[in-house]
Amino acid sequence: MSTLIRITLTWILGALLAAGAAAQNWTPRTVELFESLPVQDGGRIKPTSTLANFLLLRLSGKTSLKLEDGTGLSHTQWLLDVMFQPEKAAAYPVFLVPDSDVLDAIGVGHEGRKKRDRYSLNELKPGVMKLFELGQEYSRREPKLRSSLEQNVVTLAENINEYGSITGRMQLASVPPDVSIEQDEAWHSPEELFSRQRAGESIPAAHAAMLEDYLELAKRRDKPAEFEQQLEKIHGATLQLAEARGEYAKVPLEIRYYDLGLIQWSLSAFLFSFVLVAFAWLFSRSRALYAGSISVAAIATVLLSIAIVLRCIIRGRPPVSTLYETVIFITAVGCIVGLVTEWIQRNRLALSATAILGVVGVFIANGYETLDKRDTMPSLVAVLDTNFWLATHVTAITIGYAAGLFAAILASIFLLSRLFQIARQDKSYYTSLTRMTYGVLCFGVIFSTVGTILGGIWANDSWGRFWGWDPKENGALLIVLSQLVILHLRMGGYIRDFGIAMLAAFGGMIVAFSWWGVNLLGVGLHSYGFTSGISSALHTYYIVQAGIMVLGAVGQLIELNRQQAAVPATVSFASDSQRSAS
Amino acid sequence: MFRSSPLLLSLFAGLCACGPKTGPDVIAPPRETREQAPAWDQSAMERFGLNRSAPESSPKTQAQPAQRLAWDLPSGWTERPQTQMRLANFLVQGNTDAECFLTLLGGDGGGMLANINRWRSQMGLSPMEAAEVDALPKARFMSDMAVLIDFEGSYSGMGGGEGRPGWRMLGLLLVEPQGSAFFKATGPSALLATERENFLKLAASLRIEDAPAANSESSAPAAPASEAGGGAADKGKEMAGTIPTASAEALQWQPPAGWREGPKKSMRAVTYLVGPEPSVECYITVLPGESGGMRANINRWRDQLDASELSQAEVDALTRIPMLGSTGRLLEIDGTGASAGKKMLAALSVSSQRSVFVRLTGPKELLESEREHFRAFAASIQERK
Amino acid sequence: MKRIFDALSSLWLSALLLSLLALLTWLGTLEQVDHGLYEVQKKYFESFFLFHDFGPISIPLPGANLVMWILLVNIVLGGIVRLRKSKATIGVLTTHIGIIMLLVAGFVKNYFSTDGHVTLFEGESASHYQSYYRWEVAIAEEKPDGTVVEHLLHHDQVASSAGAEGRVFRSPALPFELRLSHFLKNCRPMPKGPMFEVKVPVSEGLFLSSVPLETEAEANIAGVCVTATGRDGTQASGLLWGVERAPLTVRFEGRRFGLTLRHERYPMPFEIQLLDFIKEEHPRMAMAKAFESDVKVREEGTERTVKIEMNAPLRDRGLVLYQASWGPQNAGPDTPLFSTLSVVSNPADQYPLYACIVIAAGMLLHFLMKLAHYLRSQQSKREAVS
Repeated sequence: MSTLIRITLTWILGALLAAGAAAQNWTPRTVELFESLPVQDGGRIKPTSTLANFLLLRLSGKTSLKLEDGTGLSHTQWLLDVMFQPEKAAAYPVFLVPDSDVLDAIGVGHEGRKKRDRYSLNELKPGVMKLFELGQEYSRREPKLRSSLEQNVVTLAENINEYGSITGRMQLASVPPDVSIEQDEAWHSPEELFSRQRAGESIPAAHAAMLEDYLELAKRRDKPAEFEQQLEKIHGATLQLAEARGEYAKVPLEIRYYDLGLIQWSLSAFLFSFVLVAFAWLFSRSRALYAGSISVAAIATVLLSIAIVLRCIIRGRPPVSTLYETVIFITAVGCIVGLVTEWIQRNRLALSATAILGVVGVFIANGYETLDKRDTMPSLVAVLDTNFWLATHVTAITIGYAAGLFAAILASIFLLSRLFQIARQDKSYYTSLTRMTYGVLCFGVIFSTVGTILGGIWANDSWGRFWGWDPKENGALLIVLSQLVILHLRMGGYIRDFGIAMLAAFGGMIVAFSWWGVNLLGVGLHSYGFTSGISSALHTYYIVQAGIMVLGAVGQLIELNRQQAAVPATVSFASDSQRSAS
Repeated sequence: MFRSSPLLLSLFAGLCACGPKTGPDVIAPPRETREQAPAWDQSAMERFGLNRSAPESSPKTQAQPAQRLAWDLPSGWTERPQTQMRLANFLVQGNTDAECFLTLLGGDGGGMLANINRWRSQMGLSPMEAAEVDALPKARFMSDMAVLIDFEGSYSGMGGGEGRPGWRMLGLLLVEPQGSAFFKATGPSALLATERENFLKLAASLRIEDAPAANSESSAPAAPASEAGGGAADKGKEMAGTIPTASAEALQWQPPAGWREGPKKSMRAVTYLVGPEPSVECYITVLPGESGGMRANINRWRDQLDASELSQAEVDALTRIPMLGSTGRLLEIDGTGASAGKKMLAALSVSSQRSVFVRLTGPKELLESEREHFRAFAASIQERK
Repeated sequence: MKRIFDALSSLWLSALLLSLLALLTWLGTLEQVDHGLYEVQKKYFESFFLFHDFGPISIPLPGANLVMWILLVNIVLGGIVRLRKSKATIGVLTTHIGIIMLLVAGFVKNYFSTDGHVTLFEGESASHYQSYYRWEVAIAEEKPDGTVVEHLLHHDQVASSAGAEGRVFRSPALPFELRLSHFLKNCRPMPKGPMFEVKVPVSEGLFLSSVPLETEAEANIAGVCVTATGRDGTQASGLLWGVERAPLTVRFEGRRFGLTLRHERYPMPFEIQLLDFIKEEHPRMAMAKAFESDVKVREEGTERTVKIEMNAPLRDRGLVLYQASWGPQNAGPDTPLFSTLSVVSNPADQYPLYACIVIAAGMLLHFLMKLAHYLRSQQSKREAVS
């Protein structure tokens, strides 16, 4: 509950702060215009607000800035200051230094500061040269071999360098060419145009006019009203050029997507539904609570799904093309599977699993975004840039992951219930859990198998070999094999509900290994998910899941003992002799 | 279900008996090819590309580095192929027991004393004290002055073991924190004594030269790049590895006559080669903001040349020169101690917007002759209008 | 006999085999971190038998190749023959047929396919492609009319010539016998200095020094020592190294031969010329967006121009050519680039696609039938209760 309150309060506070900060320097209209100014970065056209968002995230670990006097700046306001009020921006505590040892290494004092704190450029200036020298030296070492201090130094040096290339300058590529896309793909920055003009090159009239406008904009930086006027003019001209090339269409949608913050809303809804489900267990007769918890979970899933759909539209790609997108997609699919299962079974079990998956999934998504610090809608490398295979192979595999994980959650509920002897008298509780787990696995194995084979066909079309025993391919195969093993063992009667639960729980670890573990190995054609810092989270999951398996086994032993002890003495002779005969 | 296991096991064992294929001893009949006739009668060195003077005809052959080591070979000495540790490798007068080679290390390799004593132990001699090392003579080596050693003794080589008496070792050592160079010759005592002059001449002639720029990599693209075409992954690594300077695009300058533009290096806006030796460079660095300020940087450079620090008053009293539309500071640093004979000319312009540093380091005499050129160069740096 | 049939067609065997395959897959994945894909593939997946080191203990395991052969038997006997054939099991039957197709595709690829690459600069042509990993020794002789005739010793013969003994090869068409010895998978020629002794043959002051295997197996450069003995007893010997630029020349009975070690070559039924290699990067980034090769294909008098790009290979005469990669690394803006087309001859090229369709259909059918059945039973249960 407190998390929810905390989240809500932060939003309200944030909104207030943002409102207050508008009084700073830039008029609200200025900020609005700047946010929606299209810019080319990372190979695609995006609104400046997205660029500011991830830039600030990269430098400071957050997407908004809190100054020492308590005022807050949004990422776009910050970027405006960085570009047009560099002296002011140099005093903002924006550079996250995760460990003050870095400061010791470069000779910058930090008395009275926390070990992990944010510093302004002014505070760091005395040590910048040393930082760059050390950064150069450490960056020659392989990233895997660097100590955490060395990596922090390199990161800080790169961040300051990136900041330096933007502050007080107009380096963003916000000037579209005045010819069609086929003729010239690359946008220009005002500085580029400036240098070309100075060097005596001729630039198109439209660009010369834009350049004049930008220079005028820079001159007006201390006069907010006139700045806004000039920015209005530039914005209009840029839009004209961009729309002529068909490159502006998705920018307003992207701004809308980030503004809506659907993913954060879905997290709150999942948390709320989790609480409601807990209450629904306590007050099992209340239909209102049951209906309420299903509705909220459904709303949360719908919000998440809308977010995914919006992303597809914005990028013109199938839903899954990066590691970040696998997280939200798996969460959404898993929750849909859970809700459907709940509709079939109606015993709150699948619903609980859904709520758990929703909360954990969106948390992981947010965590990954902060760890990765890069645009979550990047351009793709050549071989991935194919919508057909992304839509078929990647989607199928991801659905398979979702099913495997959902089955593991159901199985974990089974095992923990055994341990805590929940619903001891109610056999149908456990049989329905088993049935659901089995059903989800059947659903999953189709997608895992077909997805894996599709991956092979894609590889055959791209590289000439269907199967290369690449770690990612192996991971997918492991999932298929483990699920098939469960099906065959059950078919042969070798395992029943406990066995299915144990193997399905283990299957969760296999899915986690295939999803994240293989990227950490750093080998093979699939290690393009750069995931430093994920390792500890992954190992925590392994330990937790293994722990649940062990505890579940303990619970099962207790249960078996209890069942044996309960058999009446008269029957025991007959059953004894039966047992020895088989 | 386990009763049929023995049969299964024997099936299993039978299948495992299939060993690896080795092929017949008879060579298959020949077939015609559309190949060109091969290049006949080439030596092993030529065939394996170990001969440095092999003519480069097609773009697919071994890449020449943009810069390479060069020297003036004394008569009677022969060149041997490079190895990992030996960047230049020679045979003295064709005597297979007399070799001479150059080793470069990035770092101080343990320091002067440690290396000299290591060599002494290879010659079966007792170690020297630091004071004795300081008293050793110096000679020219790679356009610098290096410590010269001449040891006679019983040579047991790098692997230790039985020593060979009547051996001589000549050596030159240049040790700096950023990098060290070692030039060593070992062989029969009398031979090396006669060849000592040649050794010193060769050492003094060692230099780095621009090679004619060849364009592409080796003929065997042995490791086809990863699925991202190799380009992306390596470019990514490259870009992560360099931390480029704050852009110096907004500046312009006028190099003096006789200065040649040197190779592009990260962290530098431009590098010029001053004088005949390519190791003497003058370069401009541009950084955002104050970057530590004048005094801190000046004292850091002074420390590199083993010169004493300047107080703030002394910094304020430095010569001013016009630079970048305002005034910058000009200073000369004379090296002492281990850096004696070296000199640095520097000009700094520090503002809240950015700092521009110009530095020229090299032998004292050369820099003194280039002093006026340097001043003019520093003064010529301006904003692009 | 029945007991054998029962065992071979049993479900416990299926589960066991699938688990073994999973174990091998997992071990093989972890091993790749240190040992490179090629070696791990040969040891764990293409073999029949292996020893895996769990720390100090070495455990014998069946190789994936063996496991899959037995799995094929199991799935035919158990999944098709023994399976109860009814409406309820149509889906399962179909799926099993699909998996058999997949296994067959795998075996065909393993035993009957060859693959390699052809790397060309713009303007160059080639009519053979070469292996990434396999080596051959070629004995070339120039005939009086200018054509070059080659005797070849293929990979299995060359690679088995390890150690001081090596192997001796003869041919009625050659006036000498050839001994190959000291074959090394990865080596570099080194000068023999006075300070150390070596146990391998030294030729012209050089010897082949073994170096550790590269993780990327394509980067390994093999080497072998050769001694040719003529019928009159004269001998000529030397070293052959995988990336040598010219052969070792030997003369016997007035004939001149060139001996060379190179990657195995496979002829193509046509000649390929690289007209243009185009590499597009994302604007303002150093990330490859797309790359393609425009090639001219010449066969038997006809020629046509074809574009080969990522995800769109050229299929012709049983060969498939893919745009695999390009180089050199770190090329500057004016550096001429070469394009690497990977070439595969695989009779089972499209089998996996057909297998996939069959498996998907089978699984979907089975699942939907089961789901429908379950929903109906749930419905009737609910009706019975209310």
